[in-house]
Formats: sequence, C-alpha cells, structure tokens
Amino acid sequence: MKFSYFPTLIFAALLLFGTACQTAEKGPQTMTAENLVKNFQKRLIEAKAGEQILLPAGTFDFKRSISLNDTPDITIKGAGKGKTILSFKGQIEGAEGMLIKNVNGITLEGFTISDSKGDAIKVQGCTNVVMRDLETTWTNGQLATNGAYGLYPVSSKNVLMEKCEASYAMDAGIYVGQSTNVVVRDNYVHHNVAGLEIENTINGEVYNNIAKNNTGGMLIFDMPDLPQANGDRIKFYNNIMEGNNGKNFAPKGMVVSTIPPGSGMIIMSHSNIEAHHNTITNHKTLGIAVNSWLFTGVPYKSENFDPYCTNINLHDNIISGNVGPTDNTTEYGQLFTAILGGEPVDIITDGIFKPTSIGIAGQPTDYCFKNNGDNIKFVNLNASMGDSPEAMAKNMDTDYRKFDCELPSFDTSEHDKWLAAK
Amino acid sequence: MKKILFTTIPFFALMLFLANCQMGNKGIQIPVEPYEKLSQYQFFKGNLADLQPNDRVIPYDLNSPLFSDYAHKARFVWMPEGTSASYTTESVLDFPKGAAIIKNFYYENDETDASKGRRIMETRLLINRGEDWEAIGYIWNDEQTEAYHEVIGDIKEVSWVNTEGKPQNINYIIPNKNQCKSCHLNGKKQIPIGPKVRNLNKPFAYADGEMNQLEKWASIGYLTGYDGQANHPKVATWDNEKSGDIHDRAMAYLDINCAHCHNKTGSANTSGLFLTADAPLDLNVGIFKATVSAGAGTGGFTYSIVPAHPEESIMIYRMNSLNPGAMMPELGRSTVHTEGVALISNWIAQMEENPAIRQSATLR
Repeated sequence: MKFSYFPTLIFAALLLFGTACQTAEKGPQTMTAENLVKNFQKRLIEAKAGEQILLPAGTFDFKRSISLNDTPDITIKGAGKGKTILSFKGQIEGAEGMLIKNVNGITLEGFTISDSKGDAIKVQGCTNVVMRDLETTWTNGQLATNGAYGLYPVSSKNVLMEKCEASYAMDAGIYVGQSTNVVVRDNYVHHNVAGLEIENTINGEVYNNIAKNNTGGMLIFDMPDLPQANGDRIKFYNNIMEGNNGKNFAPKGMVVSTIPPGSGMIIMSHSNIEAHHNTITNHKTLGIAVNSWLFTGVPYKSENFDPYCTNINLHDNIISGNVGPTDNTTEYGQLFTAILGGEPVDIITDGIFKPTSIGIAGQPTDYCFKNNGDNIKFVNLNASMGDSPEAMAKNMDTDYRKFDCELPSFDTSEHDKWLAAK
Repeated sequence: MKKILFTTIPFFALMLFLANCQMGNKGIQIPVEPYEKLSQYQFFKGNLADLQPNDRVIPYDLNSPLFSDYAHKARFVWMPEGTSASYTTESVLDFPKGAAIIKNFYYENDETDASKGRRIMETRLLINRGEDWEAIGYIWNDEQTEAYHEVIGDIKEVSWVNTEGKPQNINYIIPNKNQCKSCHLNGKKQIPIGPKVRNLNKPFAYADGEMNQLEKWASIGYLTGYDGQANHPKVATWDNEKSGDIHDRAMAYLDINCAHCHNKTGSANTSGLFLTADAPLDLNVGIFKATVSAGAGTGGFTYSIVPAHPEESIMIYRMNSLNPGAMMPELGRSTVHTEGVALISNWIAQMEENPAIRQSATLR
C-alpha cells in the first residue's frame, strides 16, 4: 500500500510545483495561433476584469467583427503592428473590425487591423483608453469602398493615442469624436481622405503627428445635432502636414467628400483652438482654412449648436511651398479656383464670423494669426450665404494684418493626472 | 480509509439526491450559470423541437416584429411563481427578477407547404438577473433534438422556399453574446426590446381560446397595474394596412427595427438619428439630416431622408445594402427586407416636397 502511493505523490508534487512555477514566472500566456479567430472572441466575452490578452504574431482572417463589452481594465496586446495582423478581407458581418464598448480601462497595443468592411477599430463610451503602436489600413489602395475610420474613439473620456499608423481610410485615418480629455501624439497618417480629425471634442492636445499624402492633413470640426455639441479647447502643435494632395475618394454625401485635395488643415466651427509650431508644406490648394458650419449650407436643428469658430489662435506655424493649380475636383475646390484663379492660399477664412465677436473694423476680435511667415498669402472671403463666386471675389479681403493680435492660452491640463498614471 | 469512504459515500448520495430532486420536481429553475442544454430549463415538454410550453410558459406575439432574415420567431415568457411584471408604457414592461424571455428562431422549409416542417436555428434567452438582463444563446443541432449553449454564435447556411415559391439560401448569422448586448443595451444596462404595452396589445390564439395578450397576462398573474377598462397604446402592424396609415406603420417598423439603437440612450445615439415610434417628423428622424459618420452608408447621398425622394434618401440606401460597412441594421440581417424597404420608400415618397429647404441644401 505505502509503496504504491509513493510515486503518485511525487508526481502530484511535481505537477503542483510545475504549475506554480509557470504562473509565477510567465504571467499571462500568449494565445496560440491555432483557432485564434474563435478563441479570441470567446476570450473577450469571458474576460475577467484586469485581464491581459496577448496575441501571437501572424495573420488571422476574421469573418465577423470582434467585440469587447463592459469588462474593465483589459489589455489586448499583439506582437507589434505589422506582426500581429487581424485581416477582415473576408468579413461578412459587423460594421467594424474591432468594437470596444463601455469599458473602463482599455489598452490596445501592437497589432494591425486591415481591410475591415466598416471602421477598423471603434472605441465607444469608454474611459481611460490607450491606443498604442496600432496600424489600420486597407490593402487595395484608395477606394470608396474602404472603411470610413481607422482608429475611432467616440463618446469616450481620457484617450491617449500614440505611435499609431493609419492609412487608406475613405474618411479619416484617426478620428476622435465627441470625446473629452484627449492626447494624440507621434502618429503617422497617410493616404486617407482626412489624415486626422478631431470632432466635437473637449480638451485635447494633438502634437508630433505627421500627415502626408492625404486629401486633407488635419481637421478640427464641430458638427451639429450630436449628443456632445460644441467642441472646445484643442491645442495643435509640432505637427507636420506635408503634401496632402491626394485625390478625394470619399463617397459623395460624406462631410469629408467636400474637402479639396491639397488642404493642409481645416478648422470648422470649433471653439478655442491654438495651433502653433506646425509645419504645413506643399499643398496645392490651401494651408489652413478657418470656416463656419454655415459655409457648408447644410441645415441643422439644434439650438445650442454654435456654428461659428471662436477664439482661433494660429501662431508661429511654418506655411510654405504651396503651389497650384488649386483643386478643381470638389465643389469647394471649384469655388476657390473660380475666386482665386487657381492660386493656392496659405490661410483662408470664409469670413462668416460670430456676430457678437465682430469688432469695429469688421473682423472678429478672436481670430488671431501671428508669426506664420513673412509672405503669408491670406484671404478673407467675407462670404454671405448664397453668394456667387463673382460676388465673393469682389468682397474678399487679403489684408492679413487685420488679424494681427494675441489671445491668451487656455488650460488643457485636465488630462495630465490620468496620463501621469499611464 | 474505510472510514473516509463511509463518510464520503453518503455525502455523494445526498448530493445526487438533491440534484435529482431539483431535476425531478418539474419546476422551472433558472441557474446562476447557464445550463449547457436548452432542455434542462424545462421550458418545453415532450419533444423539444415541438416547442410545447410547460405550465406557466406563455407564448406571445408582437404587433410589429423585428425583421430577422425572414426567420420566424416563437416567443415565450416565464416568470417565477408569485411574481409579475408591472404595467408601464414608458419602455418595456417592468419584469420581475428571474423572468425569462424565450425566443426561438426558425425557418419553414417551405412557406407554401407547412407539412414540409421547419428548422429551428437558435433559441435566445433573456434572463432578468435583477441588476441587469443576461442574454444567453443556444444553437440547435442539425438533428433538431437539442440546443447547446454557445457564447460566440455561429454562421449556418439555411435554405427554404419563400411565400412566392422561390428557393432561398442565406448564411444565417447567430449573434455572439456581445452582439446580443449591443442591440439590447439601453444606457449601461440591457433590456428586452419587444414586450412593450404598445407591441403586446393584440389578440393571441391560446390553446384555450383567443384573448388579448395583456388581458391574458393580467388574468394569470403575470401583469399588475393593468386596467382592463382603459385604452392602451397600440402600435400599428407594419404590413397590415388596416392597422394604421402609412406614417403609423412606417414609424412602427422603424421603432422595432431601428429604435433599440437609434434612441437617445442607445448605441447609435452618436448619430443624432432617433427613430422611436413617437418621434416627431423632423430632422432627428432624418428629414434633411446630414450624416456624421455614415461611412460607406451615404451611398453618395447627402440626407437620411429627402421628402418625396426615397431614391435620394440614405435611409433607403442603407436598408437596401448588404455591405457590412453600410447596411442597416448593422447586425442580424444578411438579406434585404424587400417589403420593409417598400413600406419606408412609400412613406418617404408621400411626404411633401419642401423646395425651400431643398434649394438651400443644394446651394452649398
């Protein structure tokens, strides 16, 4: 009796030792490549709070979108962008590649999502979001059938996006919508319609990003009739926008389908923007545009929506190398071409200003453009609703000095506290 | 050793006895963790695929149901002994903790000949856990003898002959647990979608005779706060012209097919498009509403609804689309609901044209 039990005991002891050792030294295991497609979704559904899900290198073909809901403090980490590739070429269901919803604490890091039928990664209603070293792309070039957004945090609070690459989206490579406390840095966006877009977002900093070969480099838009209205307090600095002269391949009807190829940066109806020390070069249509929503002519309903830009502070930017002919493929491009004869501009505003902020000289007291180079080609279209191009050409004003003023900086430090914890 | 054995055996026996007792008492018990098999709940008696409800499992129907790729649905509700739902017209009925909604999705093999039988694809349970509802999915085996719990759903090919005698073949997609949630989510919690007063207010042919569903629920103690003498809201039946005018039927259709996401606290609130049955006919229903993030969903059009012009309305384009990046609803549809598209198209077509807005809209 005694002897026969002995080996078993030793075996059991060894087993115990072995497992204890494993958990102590290795931490979470990388998922195996075999059956990853099924197991990954199952893992996300059954995940416990605080779990780290590690994906192996390799290319994995998904038919359905992947989703995570509700479970807090989850990390999904691959072997690196370009190494762990989640491909949706054969997708038959789901409006996005990956959907993260209502998660308090989500880190997405180190993987590529390619060829999703809709948006690549949508993060909705989350807090404390980190998106790092991710790539989103569509591999068949600039097609209207590509997905709309690459990296798409929306209705989220505390968002950090860094070291990501987003390309070939038929809307925006990086799109931050209706979010609060946002930091977007060190990303590279190229060959999208809009490189990077900040929309209806409150309190953010966008810096050290590069936008190349998009239709429009970087956009800050405020749109009407949305739950979070009136975007506010965004700083844009040390970004490079270069040669965003790509064709506009967005389907008609989308707001970005109106962006003329050759646009560096467009600001629309947002409040409190400080853009400084950005380099905006080699655009065939415009360097920076500052417009009101009213210029689009698209109706809206919401009474608390402010369609005007207020407190726009553009200083110490380098705007250079803009050579026409300006775009003639979009309505705006055609309008600019008709008004300006094919010559690109460095800074342009539609001249539709908030009535309460117009000073004695006719221009707003809260649009300040300073130190953006010596020979800035500037146009204030002084547009009124329904003006013809001829009327605009007649009314426009090219006196840049009228906007020579200074605005105090504003506070965007709300995100510091949670960022420090990352 | 012997001693240990003696004490262990009675313990096991007791466990077995208890388990048996639970199984054997014919009462429905909702476990904390989902059962592996649908049959274990004992919602149905006899041959499982016949879906013959056990005592207190009550079949019900809706005035206007959600379109699910032409699948039929056999719906049932069960509530624990001594509990009931309370009447409210605000949202869905206020169900008690422990309540179960049981929804079976099936295809008639031949819509023109019931004798050819049916194929049940899946059974979805919604269990009211008190704090929140939980969605639990069961997938039927090909033999139609049992359905097994599955959190990640599946894709199954299904063929049938439609009402016009035409053979149909689709990839039927069984949602995963997160997808269940994304449709049932309201704010931070999940709720049922169908069983609202306005959708339940209709007669049903019960085994013991026809009766209004609300009345029936009240009569068996499933519904409190129901005033039998009062008038109760009733939504139109989308495909029954006698049940309402085209506006009412269109709104009933949009309500059940879209409003679970397109409402102020639903998943699609970021779009600003709200399609609840009582919504006023204005921009938030889509009239001259520009899109925000429709992506491929615009189809090249500018507005969700252009009155009098369904052919220029994004809503119709998305209902007609089968591209996962453009189609609406996003989930649970891999065919076009031709009849639904026709209804919404007719509704938009009969809207009055508004030349003033139209002109300002095209001026830009």
